[in-house]
Amino acid sequence: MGRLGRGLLNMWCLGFIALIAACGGGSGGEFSEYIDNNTSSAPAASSSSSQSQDGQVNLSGRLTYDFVPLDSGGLNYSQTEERPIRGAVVNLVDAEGSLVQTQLSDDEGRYQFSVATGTQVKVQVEARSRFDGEQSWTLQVEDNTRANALYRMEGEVISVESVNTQRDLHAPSGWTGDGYGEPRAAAPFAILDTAWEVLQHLREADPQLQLPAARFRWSPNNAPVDGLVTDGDIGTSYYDGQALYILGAEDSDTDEYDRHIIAHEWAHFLEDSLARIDTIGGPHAQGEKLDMRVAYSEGVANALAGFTLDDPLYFDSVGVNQSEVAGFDIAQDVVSNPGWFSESSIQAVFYHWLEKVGITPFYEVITDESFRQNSALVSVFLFADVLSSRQADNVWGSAQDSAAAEFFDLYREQRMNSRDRYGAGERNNGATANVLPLYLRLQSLFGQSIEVCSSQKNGSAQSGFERNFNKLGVHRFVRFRPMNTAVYEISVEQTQAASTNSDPDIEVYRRGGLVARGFTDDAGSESLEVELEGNEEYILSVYDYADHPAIGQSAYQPSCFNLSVSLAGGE
Amino acid sequence: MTMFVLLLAGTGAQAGEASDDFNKPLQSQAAQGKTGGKPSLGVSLAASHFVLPDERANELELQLKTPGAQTRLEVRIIMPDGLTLSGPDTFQLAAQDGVARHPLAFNSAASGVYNVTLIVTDMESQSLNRQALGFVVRVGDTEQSRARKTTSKASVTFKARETVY
Repeated sequence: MGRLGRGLLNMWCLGFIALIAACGGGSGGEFSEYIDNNTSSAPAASSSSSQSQDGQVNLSGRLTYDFVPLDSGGLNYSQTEERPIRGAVVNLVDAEGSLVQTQLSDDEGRYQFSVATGTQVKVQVEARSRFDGEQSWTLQVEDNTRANALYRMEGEVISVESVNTQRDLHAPSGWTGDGYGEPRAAAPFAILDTAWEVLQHLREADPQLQLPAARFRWSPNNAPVDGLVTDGDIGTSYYDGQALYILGAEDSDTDEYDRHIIAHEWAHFLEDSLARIDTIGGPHAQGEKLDMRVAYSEGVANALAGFTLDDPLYFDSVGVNQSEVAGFDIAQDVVSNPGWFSESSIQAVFYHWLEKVGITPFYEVITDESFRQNSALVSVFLFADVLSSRQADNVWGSAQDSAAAEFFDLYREQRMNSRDRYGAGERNNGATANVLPLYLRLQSLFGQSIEVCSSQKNGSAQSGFERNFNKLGVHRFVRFRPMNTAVYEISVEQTQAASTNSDPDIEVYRRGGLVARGFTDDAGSESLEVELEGNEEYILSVYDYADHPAIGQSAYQPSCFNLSVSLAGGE
Repeated sequence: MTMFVLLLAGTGAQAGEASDDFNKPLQSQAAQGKTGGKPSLGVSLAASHFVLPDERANELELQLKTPGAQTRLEVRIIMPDGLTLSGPDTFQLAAQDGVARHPLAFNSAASGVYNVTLIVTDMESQSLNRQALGFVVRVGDTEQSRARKTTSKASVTFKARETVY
């Protein structure tokens, strides 16, 4: 059975208990392995049956939430749809609050339990999807202003009659015509459902998909204010390596129905979980010239959002009654400042490529060990290199060989040239001096120093390092490979300063992981000692932490430093 | 009218993160390589928390940092109940060297904590051209914490609209 067929069969089987035996699950099979850790004494879903037994009846129903569509006029409450709550944990709970049974809802939002007549039970659905089997995942939506408590909704405790019964549960949006006058029960389920939809593409691509828990944190208090996340002052919707924070402040910025934003942040999580994420984060906008790590991560996240939601129009609702939008077309392939440093270029390449060849070639590249363990930092060049290698090794055969050719056609259209993981031979410098070659190289560890320059010309003068740090030209990359394992001293000395004093800093990476850093406030110099493994490639990132007040002026010059490496102790 | 601005948190970093040994919190964040925010205009506020001494008219300076040195912005202010803005709620600003400044004057009906929203539009952007930003105004002698926090891990439970057949 092909990947797609197998994936669809799994989806069809998932959660609808009447089908478990037919799917080869049954007692001891993969579908019986689902157990909620919080309720480990609960019987697995396979304990239920659609067959009535003595004293047992079916309690079934459908779970739905209000989905508010987003268009160019903002959230359109008049077009609110009832959509199924798919793949969610459904609990049967007795009058004392104890869990009786649990399972996942199916693709139509349906559930079914076999229940003893006369018992007092309620149905409860969590804003969580969890499955442990050949594939495994956990998606859940929590409230960061209430100790990260899980969202859920529930019905009333009702006695089970002697006939089969249906109980349908619906989560309303809470919209009452001119505001959210009622609790916003639908919001967590809207977030869960977008994540669920993206997840299905991954399940098709990888029959052995194993994901760590993804924690979405949403609250009606989550506002575009910098501050404490426990107060709801999350600043923006973002992923921080631990959780995905989502805005929810009415009349300001709500993102629970802005599906591209949910999918964008979810894509960052997936990049971190399945592949490798090297982005340094920070503010980013369409058309900006960005650090290659940021441009790749953000561009790919936009492309995945557009592809998995089958909609290239990215909208973000804001303002009173969520009636205004900001947005852009992910598929737009005419961009200002095209290149490997452009989020817009990268999203165009990947979106069109995914549309042409599907998600599997992309997924296989980013999960390839040669990608995940590469000494080069993650950028579009690393992707191109691994893709080229797979093409050269005929990993996919002729059918997929054309997939690589399709990618490189799009790649060239966006003025990306090099297929080398270190960007060797790249000619597009984004009109920024000192960024090419992408990586300098210390050929010999001792007695050699090389000059590296850090420019903030793609930022702005009063923004300072705190906002300019992720722009093209700030970080200068240097490769070096020590011959022997030893403690090394890495030093930089200023040769030219963009302002009165420079504040050079150093980061040392091994296969994308930060292994050492020199962050002192010393003016004009920096040094650090670190033990490094012999014959292992390291990447140094050197930059000037100081503000550059002359940005934009004709006299602006970057800060430059001499970089050297020696054995610690003066050898 | 008195000018009174007290910056409580204005780094743009996610507050609550530990600073690194050398008091460079954003650099530390950058080195961790783990932050991916949603696409935006890239405009930010220099300060996002203000304290005003009492309910009388108080002025503070709005400072917007822009990614472009000469960006032209339209700013619209959405006021919360209980806080009143003196002057127009929509105005245009021109950034110089990446910063746009504008004075704002407020009156409040009572002490309290107020969330103010700005809808910022880049008047020249050809692409994503609008962004919401917010800041907090704390007026008078009021509770420092907004007291929404709880230590309970209990679920947040909504009552379903239930139909039984």
